[in-house]
Amino acid sequence: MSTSKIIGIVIGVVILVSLFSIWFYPSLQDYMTENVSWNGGNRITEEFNITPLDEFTALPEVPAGTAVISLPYIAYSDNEAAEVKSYIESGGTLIIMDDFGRANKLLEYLGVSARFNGHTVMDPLFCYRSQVMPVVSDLDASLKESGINSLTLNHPSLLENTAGWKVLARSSVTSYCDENENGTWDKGEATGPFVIAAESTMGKGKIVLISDPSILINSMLDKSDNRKLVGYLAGRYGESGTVFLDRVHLEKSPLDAARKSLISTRQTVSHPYILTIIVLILFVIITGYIYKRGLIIG
Amino acid sequence: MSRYKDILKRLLLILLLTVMLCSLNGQALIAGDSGPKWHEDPESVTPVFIPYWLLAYYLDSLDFIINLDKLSSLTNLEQLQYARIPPELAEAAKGFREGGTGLTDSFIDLYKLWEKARGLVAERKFSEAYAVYRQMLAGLPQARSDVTEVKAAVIASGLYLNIDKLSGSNPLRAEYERVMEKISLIEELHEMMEKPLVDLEKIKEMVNLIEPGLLEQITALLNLPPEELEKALQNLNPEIILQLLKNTDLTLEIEPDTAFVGDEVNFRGRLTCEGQPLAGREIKIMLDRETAASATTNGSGEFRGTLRLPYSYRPTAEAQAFYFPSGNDVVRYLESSSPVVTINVLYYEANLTLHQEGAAYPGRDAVLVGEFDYGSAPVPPERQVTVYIDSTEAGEFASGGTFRTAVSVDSNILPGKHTVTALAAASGRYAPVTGTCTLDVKLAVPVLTLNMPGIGLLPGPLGFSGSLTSEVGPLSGAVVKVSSGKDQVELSTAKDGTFSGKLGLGMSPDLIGTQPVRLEIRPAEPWNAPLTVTRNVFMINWVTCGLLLVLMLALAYLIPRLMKRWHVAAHRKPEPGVVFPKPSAVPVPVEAQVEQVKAGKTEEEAATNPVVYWYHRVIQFIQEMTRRIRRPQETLREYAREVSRLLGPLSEYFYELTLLVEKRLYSGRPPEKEDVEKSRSRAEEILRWKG
Repeated sequence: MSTSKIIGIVIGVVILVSLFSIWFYPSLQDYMTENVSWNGGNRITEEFNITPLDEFTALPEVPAGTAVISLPYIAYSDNEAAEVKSYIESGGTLIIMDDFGRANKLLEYLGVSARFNGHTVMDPLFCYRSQVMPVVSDLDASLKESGINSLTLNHPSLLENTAGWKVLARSSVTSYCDENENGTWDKGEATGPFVIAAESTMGKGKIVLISDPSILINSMLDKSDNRKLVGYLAGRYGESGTVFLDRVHLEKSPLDAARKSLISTRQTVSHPYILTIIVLILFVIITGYIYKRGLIIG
Repeated sequence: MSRYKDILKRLLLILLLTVMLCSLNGQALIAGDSGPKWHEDPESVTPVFIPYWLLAYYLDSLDFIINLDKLSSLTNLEQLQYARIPPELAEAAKGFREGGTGLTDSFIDLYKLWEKARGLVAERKFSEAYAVYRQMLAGLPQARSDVTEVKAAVIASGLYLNIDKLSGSNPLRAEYERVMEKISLIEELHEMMEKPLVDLEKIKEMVNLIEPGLLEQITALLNLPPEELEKALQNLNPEIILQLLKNTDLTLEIEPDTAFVGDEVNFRGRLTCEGQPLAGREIKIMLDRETAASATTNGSGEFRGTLRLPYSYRPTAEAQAFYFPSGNDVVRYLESSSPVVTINVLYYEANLTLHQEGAAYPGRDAVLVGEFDYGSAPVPPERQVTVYIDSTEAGEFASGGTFRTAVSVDSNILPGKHTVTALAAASGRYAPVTGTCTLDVKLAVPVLTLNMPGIGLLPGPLGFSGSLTSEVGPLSGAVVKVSSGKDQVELSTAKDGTFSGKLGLGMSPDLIGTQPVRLEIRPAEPWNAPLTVTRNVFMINWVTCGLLLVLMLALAYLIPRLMKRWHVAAHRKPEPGVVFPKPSAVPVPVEAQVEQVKAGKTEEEAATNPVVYWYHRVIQFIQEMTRRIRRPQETLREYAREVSRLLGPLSEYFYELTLLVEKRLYSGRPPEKEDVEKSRSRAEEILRWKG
C-alpha cells in the first residue's frame, strides 16, 4: 500500500471519528437541550414543550400569547434589543433570568428601573444543604394559588429598584448579599429580605425578572416547587408550544458550535438535488476505479 | 532492508493516526466542558448548619412581635418550615413556630387593647376603659401559654447547642441571651398589662383612711347619697371610683440632650393637676423602660435631679417621667407620664479588620493579624479580645491597636473555609467591636521521595525505601501501606519521616508488563493530608517466561518440519506463461493411418486404445488453454488435480477422463465399450470449448 494511500486513509478515519464524536458526544454546556447531565436543559424543553430559539429573527410574528425566556450571557445588540422591545410592546412576554447583572444593559435600553445586583444572595438558615442554595417561601399570592410554596435557588442574585413592580418572590430575613464574595456575612453587607423575582407591564406585554436562571437546569427542577414555577411561567405567559428559550445569547462551547454547523451542513446536504449530485459523483468514481482494475462483472 | 524501511514508515503513519485521533477528538470533547460555572451540582454541595443564624432568626421573629408588626411576624414564622436545621432541632423549631404564631396574635391584640384602655382612661371614659380592660384580661392566659411554648422551644435549642458550655462572650451564647431577654421583655409586658388601670385594692384600703372632709367632697362631687358612695367603694365599682380621680400633667426636660455613655445628665420637670402644682410627690424617671432615677416635687410641683446614662451602646435613649399616685393620691389623681425625651448617646466605635497570615492547619496554631481603627476617637491603651473559630473559642489576648496573635485550631476541624470572629468587649465609652475574617484551613500535602526499582521479578520481594515530608515538617509515625494486587505490606515512618521495607510479590499468570504498586499514606498528625501514590514497575514473571521459552524452543524445532511438508504439498503453484512446444501426437505409423482411412474407419476406431486416443486429444487442448504441461514425475491424476483449478466447470470431465485412462493403462485389459463411450463424451464436452 502506497504512502499516499495510507495518509489518505489516516485523514479519512480522523475526519470520520471526529464527526462521530461531535455528533454523538453529549453537550456539557449549561442550559443546552442536548445536555442531559445535571446542568443541562433537556428536561425543560421536553416536559414543557419549550422551543429553543437559535435565530433571533425567528421571534413570533404575533407576540400575544407567547413568551421568550432569555438568559443573556451574551449581550444583546442594539438591533436585537429593538426587536425585543417591539416584541414586548406588541403583547409578548419576556422572562429574563440573570444572576450576574449582564441583562442590565438590556433593561436600560428597555427603559425600566429594575436592575440585577449581580452579587450572590446567601441564606445560611433557609437553604438546601448550604447557604449558596437559598430556599425562598415569601411568594406572591398568585404563585401560592398555583401550588408554588417554595423555590430552591442556586447562587442567585437580587433585584434592585423594583418600586412599582409586582414582587413575586422575596428571600428571608436571614439572607444577606455577599458583596465581597467571601462566603461570610460581614458587617456592612446588606441583609434580607431581598426581591428575587418581579413582574411589570410594558406596552401590551410583560417583563418578568428572575434573579436566578439555575431553576431551569435538570438538577434543580426537582427541588422544592421549581418545576411548578416553570410550568406556571410557561402556562401563564405562553400557551403550550409558544414558549421559546433564547439560545442565541447563551454561551456555547466549541463542541456545540461544531454540532450546530454539522446539523446545518447535514440539512443542506439532505436537499434532493445535492444528494443526487453526490450520488452521481460517487457512481462515476467507483465505476472508473472498477474499470481501471479490469474487473468485469458478469 | 527496503522492506524494513517500508514497515517502519507504515508504523510511523499509524502512530500519526493515533496522535491525531486523540488530539483532535480530545479537543472537541474537552472543549465541550468550557465556560464559567454559574451554579453548582446540588448533590455535591456540602451540607452545613450554622446555629447562630437560627438564633438570629428567633430574635428577628420576637422583634416583629414586640414591634407589633403582625404581618411580618406571621410571614416570617411561616418560613420556618423551610429552614435547614438538624432533625434533632425540628421539634423545637416547630414549637417556636406554633407558639410564635399564637403569640403574634395574642400579644399584639392584647397590647392594642391595653393601649386602648389606657387611652380611654385618659379621656375619662372609664366604663369603656374597663370593658376593654376586662377583654384584655381574658386573653392574657392564652398569651402566657404562647410565651411559655416559645420559651421552651428556645431553651430546647439552647440545650442542643450546648449553650451552657460556651463562655459568656461567645457570639452564639450572646445571641441566645438576647433571645431570652426578648422573651423576658414580653413576659414583663404581660405583667404590666395585668396591672389594673387603677389600683382599686389600694383605693379600698384607703377608703377607711380617707379624711372625713375628703369624703364629703367626694360625695358632693359625685352627687351621690353617702350610703351609695360607700357601697360603691366597698364593691370597688371602678366606674364610679374613677370619676373621683383627676388627671395630672407631667413634664420632663433633659440637659444636656447629648452625652456619653456613663455620663450624668440633669433632668427637671413639673407635676400639676388642673394647673395646680402637686408638691411632695415622687416622680420616677425611666430610661428605655427601665427606672433610672427618682425625684420628689417641691412646693411648685417641680422636681429635678441627675441620672447616669447606662453603658448600652445605642445611639439614642428614651427618657420618660412617670407619676404613680400613692397614699391618698390613689383616690384623687390618675397616674400620668411625660412625653418621651430622646437623648443622643455618644460612644466610641471602632472597626476591627482581621486577616489570616500564612497557612492554617488543623491541630496547629494559626496566625491572625488585625487592627483596630478608631477613626477620630482616642485609642484606648488595651482591650481584651476573644477569638472564635466558628462558634468555638480559640484564644484570648489584649491589644489596643495593631496585633498579631496565634490562635489554636482544633485538630478535628474540617479543611475549608471557616469564620473567625474577634470580639472586643465593651469598655467604658468604647462600644464592643467585632471583626470577622475567613480562615482557610487546609491540610499539608505530603511530599514523597520514593526509591523503588523500575524493574522487578515476580514471584519475589520488591524492595523500596523513601521519606515523607510536608511543608510543616517530616511525617513521623505515618502508616505506609504498600500494595500491588493482593500483595501488601504495612509499616510506619520514623521520626525523620524515612521508611524502608520489602513487598513480597506472589505468583501470578502475568508474563511481562507494568504492574501498579500503590502506596497509601495515612499521617499520624492531623495537619497532614493522606496521600496515595501509584508507581508502575515493570515486572518480569521469570517462572512463566521460562516455561514459555521452553515451549517456544520445542515448537521451533517441530513446526518447521511439519510446515515443510505441508508447504511443499499445498504451495506447488502453476507456472503461468511457460509455453512448452506443442507435444507431438501419439505416433501412428503412416501406413496404418492410411490403411485405416482406406478402411473408412474414424480416428477413434483406428486408434489402438480409444480411451487413450481421446485423452490425448483433450490433453493437447488443455495444455494450450492452461499453458501447463505434465511433468515427467507427475502422475496423470496429480496433473488432473493441478489443472482442475484452471479448468473451471471442465475439471470434472477431465478428471473422469483421467480416471478412465488410468484404468485402461493400469488394468492391462482392453477398454470396455462403456468406457470408450464415456471417454468420448467427456472429451467432446471438453473439446466443445475449443470452439
